[in-house]
Amino acid sequence: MNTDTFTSLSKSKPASPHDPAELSVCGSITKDSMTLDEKLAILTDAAKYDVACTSSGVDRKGSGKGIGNSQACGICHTFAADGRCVSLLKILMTNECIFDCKYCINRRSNDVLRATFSPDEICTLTMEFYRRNYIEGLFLSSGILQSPDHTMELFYETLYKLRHTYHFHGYIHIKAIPGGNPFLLEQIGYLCDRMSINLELPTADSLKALAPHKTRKNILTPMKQIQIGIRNSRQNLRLNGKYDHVSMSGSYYDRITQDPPTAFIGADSGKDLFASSQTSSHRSVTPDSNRAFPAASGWSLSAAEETSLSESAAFGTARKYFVPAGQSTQMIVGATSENDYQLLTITENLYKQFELKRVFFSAFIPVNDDPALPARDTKPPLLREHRLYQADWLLRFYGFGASELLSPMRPNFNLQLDPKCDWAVRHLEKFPVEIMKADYYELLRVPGIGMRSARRIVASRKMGQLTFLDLKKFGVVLKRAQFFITCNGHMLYRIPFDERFITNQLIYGEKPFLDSQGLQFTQPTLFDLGLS
Amino acid sequence: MQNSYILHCDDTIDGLLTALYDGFVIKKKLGSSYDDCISISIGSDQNYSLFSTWIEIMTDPKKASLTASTIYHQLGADVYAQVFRTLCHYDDSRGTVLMGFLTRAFKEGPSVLDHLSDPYVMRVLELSRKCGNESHLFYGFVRFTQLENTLYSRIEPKCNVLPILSPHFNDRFPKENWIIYDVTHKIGSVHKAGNSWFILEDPALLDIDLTNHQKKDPFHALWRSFFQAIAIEERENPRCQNTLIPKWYRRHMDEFL
Repeated sequence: MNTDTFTSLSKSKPASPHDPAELSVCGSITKDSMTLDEKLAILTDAAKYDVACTSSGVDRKGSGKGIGNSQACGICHTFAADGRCVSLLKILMTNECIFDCKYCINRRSNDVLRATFSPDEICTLTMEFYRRNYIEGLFLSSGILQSPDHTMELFYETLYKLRHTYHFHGYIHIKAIPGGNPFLLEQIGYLCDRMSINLELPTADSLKALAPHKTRKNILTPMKQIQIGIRNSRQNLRLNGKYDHVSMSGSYYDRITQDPPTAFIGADSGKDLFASSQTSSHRSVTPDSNRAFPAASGWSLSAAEETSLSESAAFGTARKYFVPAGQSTQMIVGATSENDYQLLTITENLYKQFELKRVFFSAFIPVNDDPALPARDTKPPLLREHRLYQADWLLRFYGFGASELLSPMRPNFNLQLDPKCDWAVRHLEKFPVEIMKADYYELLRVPGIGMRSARRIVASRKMGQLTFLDLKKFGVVLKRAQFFITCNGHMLYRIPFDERFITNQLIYGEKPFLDSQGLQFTQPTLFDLGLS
Repeated sequence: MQNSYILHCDDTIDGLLTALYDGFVIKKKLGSSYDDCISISIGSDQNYSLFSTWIEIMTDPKKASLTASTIYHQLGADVYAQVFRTLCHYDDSRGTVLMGFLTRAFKEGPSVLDHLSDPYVMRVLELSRKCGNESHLFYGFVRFTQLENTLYSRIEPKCNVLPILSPHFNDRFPKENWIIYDVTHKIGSVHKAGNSWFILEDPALLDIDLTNHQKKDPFHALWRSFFQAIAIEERENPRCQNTLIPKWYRRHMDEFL
């Protein structure tokens, strides 16, 4: 693409046709001709509150013909001033929206500058950024333009063009729109790598209060459909292990472009798109009926809702990869009154019942004045968000359950101690563990030992005795681990094996961690104890 | 105690592999009671020491490729990958470390990688990890600038990452002409559309000033404004940013210029 094309693009008007009736509902200021630069600034700024920027989960070799590949570990391309990784071109297709979610900067009652990218503009930006190695791919989200279906059609058009016209084989993450047509959802699923639907708020009540146009059903139904699709697609590919990732050869996209396209007609003739949904209903693979959805515990679909899903049982059964990098979601932390225990239980259920790849947490940043929301000067609860992520890792990789870490009696995380240390000091009966004998999962539960160091210990102890010095070289954080392990029968130092002593050492032995309120923890003096 | 030998070789991957070849020839002469008395010194590092034999190694591509294929076929792809990444590290002792590591590896077989409490094995894994991590970061931190018909990038890595980066970009941009110039090692990786890549050691040809080209490129400005807009002010955290992308990486990155 050269400069001429660029200038012609930037001069072109916002491409999508607006329904005047819709626009009058939208509290919006639209400029007739906006440059690509202005649009990018507006639509990036509006997209930045989406947390996920991962490009991981799928290995795809280049085809030798198009452009791009993908690595399962993911690649970060830069880090923004807030320390978050920038891996994908994270933009909204439009910030016009017919919904009025109270926490959202783009809600229709807000008076903000509105802009819309045309599918071609998105393709150009993605391709040119990708060629310069600025990004790993595209993260496309959007406000809801006219209707969920219309928005999803524009998504489909963009993705189809990227994959088939521009031959882009990089990573694509799509934020699915709740309430969209299932057939469109499936077709988009064959073109993208990861799909996500934001849960936004943890409970149905707070969803009702803050996002009146979204319902739990509208969010969970597509989430379930994507899950079914991923499961079918993985069965076809014989990927059985939970952590097996999809590995595609380079010729994959060549092959599907030779297949008759599944009806791409473009956003303006959506009828044809739906017509083909009947013709493609002769799929042979039926989903495994033995694997019924696990029993509901507060956060799953009711039986009635599940029957409506039966028609989407053939999701992902076309001979193509369906959402190969898996599904994720995002929850807002701190906008409503849910406690950490509720959040973590929901997270656990999402992993178990919806087989999500990741659940992201987003510390609430007030951007709107609204009586239903915390005040504008509320600081985002960053430390709380951090503790939730730590616990999320414990759920996914360390074999912990939500009910081990928290309980209705202790519903919130200790802000002074990380969740693993906090669990360990309350379960001293399980410690100290002997490094030379404990199995992998026991080692994983020791604070200061992670997956990598546990694996190194298990591999190398077959070859000979280990010392504390070896452990240090393996990456074990002895500052924390020393209280919970013995090496050849001895602890590193002679210490009283007592909950209070160890807790104090863990908290005050290191620099106090300041939370967002600047709260600092100090050693009590004799004055505090009333002994003067 | 055996007489010690110091083999001195060029600071290139071929030079080191030749030194390792000759090292093993000497080791064979010394017999079974070998006690790590052979060390390899690289490039300008010329520390003569008393009571040791100094041997100059002439780089020989044949010996080098023979060493590489022996490692690959006898010890497997895992060990080969570790050795290769260690060769690309900048540490002066890497030759000696590899000599010790390979001595053990040929004795133990591929399971040598589990001997983490052996200092030579641990050191090889450390160097290889450092080099692997740095090249992984450069997968993302390389920035191309559009010249007339070529994508051109300058990087200033500590390790010799080009041999690791080039296959990745070869796979990613098969239909582009691209050049990645390594300012530290004064070598460049050159790729012609539709062909494979090769390493070129000609700084006069490869070193290009980019300021004017960047000013002309509209996407350079677009990327900078994207980078500004994507950060959330309320969460600003320069310390976290500095940990994740230390400042020395930023020298040639468009968004930090």
